[in-house]
Amino acid sequence: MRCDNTYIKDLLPEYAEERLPAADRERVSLHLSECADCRTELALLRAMAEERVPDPGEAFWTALPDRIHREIERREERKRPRDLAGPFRRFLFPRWAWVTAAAGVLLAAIAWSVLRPPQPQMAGTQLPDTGGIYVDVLATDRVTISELTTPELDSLDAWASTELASLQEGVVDMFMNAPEGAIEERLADMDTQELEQLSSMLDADNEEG
Amino acid sequence: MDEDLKLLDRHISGDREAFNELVRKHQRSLYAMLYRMVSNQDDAADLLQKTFVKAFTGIGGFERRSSFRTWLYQIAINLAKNLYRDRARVQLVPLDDVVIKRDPKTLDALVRKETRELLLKAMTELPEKQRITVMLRVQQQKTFEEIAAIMKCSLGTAKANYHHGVQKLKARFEDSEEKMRTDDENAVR
Repeated sequence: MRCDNTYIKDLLPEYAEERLPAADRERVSLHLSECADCRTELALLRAMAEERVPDPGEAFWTALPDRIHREIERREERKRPRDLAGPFRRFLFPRWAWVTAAAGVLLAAIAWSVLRPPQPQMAGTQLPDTGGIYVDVLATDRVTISELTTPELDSLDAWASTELASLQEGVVDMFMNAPEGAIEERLADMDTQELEQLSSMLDADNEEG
Repeated sequence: MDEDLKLLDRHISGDREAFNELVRKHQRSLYAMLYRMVSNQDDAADLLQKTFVKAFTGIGGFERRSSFRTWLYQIAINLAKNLYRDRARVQLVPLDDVVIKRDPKTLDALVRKETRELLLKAMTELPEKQRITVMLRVQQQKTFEEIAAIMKCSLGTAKANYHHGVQKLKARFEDSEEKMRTDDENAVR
């Protein structure tokens, strides 16, 4: 009669191997004494467990790790991509040389765009106020008054009047509105040219009276 | 950390001796299982090497959710299954070819031998999952928890496969015993 006691049947393999704790071993023994089905099953399990596995020998076990390692290396070698340029590689520049050269070219281009000499300024700038041609004294050689043409003299005179007038206003304003004691300080700060101009203006004012 | 995992980490770092130690630790139990599955020494040796090669070349696929041993067993079982399907199993030795001495011990041994051979043949006729489960439980002394991990099934399924497999073996064995008894009785007459 078939036994449905799966609890006992689960323990039978360990019972056959004598690996059960004492309490379980007693429980199984008691059940076996009453159950033919489980006794048959135990006999089968013991027969299966007794099946001998032939030993391939110590030489096999000793050589196995090296054999496995060699096979792994062979497979990894097959996976590596072929280097077609290999034989010619010694004739080519290394990669770092190309990178360095490219970086050098880029830096030179940047430096040239930053440091290139400025374009020379064009002589002849339109004078905004007087309408005449303003000669850039710094850009040209020194000229004498006698060399100037009549239009150039008129322009120079107009410019000088404008400049001196503003200077005169500034000087008068400075002396009229300066606090006490400041005039002496101001006079002490003026250079020879400024003092001569001041003297000329004062003479002109005295004559006009 | 599990000892196997420590060895594995050392192997990944390039420690050749750790690799050798892992192989030496598992080679015999794996070989025994493979032999029981394919019943041939050369095939078992070949499968053993393939198991380790596959495990170490595919180490990136080992997610460490199970033990390294379980993972090795899974690889070995899959390789053996593929071979098993194409090969003949245990060849029964006909009793006619064996010289029978009139010695109780020899007869007992022969009967035991025949019983074992019948069992092994019956094993080969089991459905694959039941056969592997019974083999792992009875011959490799794996617990049901370990079997569930190796076979990637639930504990209940592992136990069910085992019990169904053993039931079929018993039924097959009892049929064979009945046949042997009948043959003996006919021989005596």
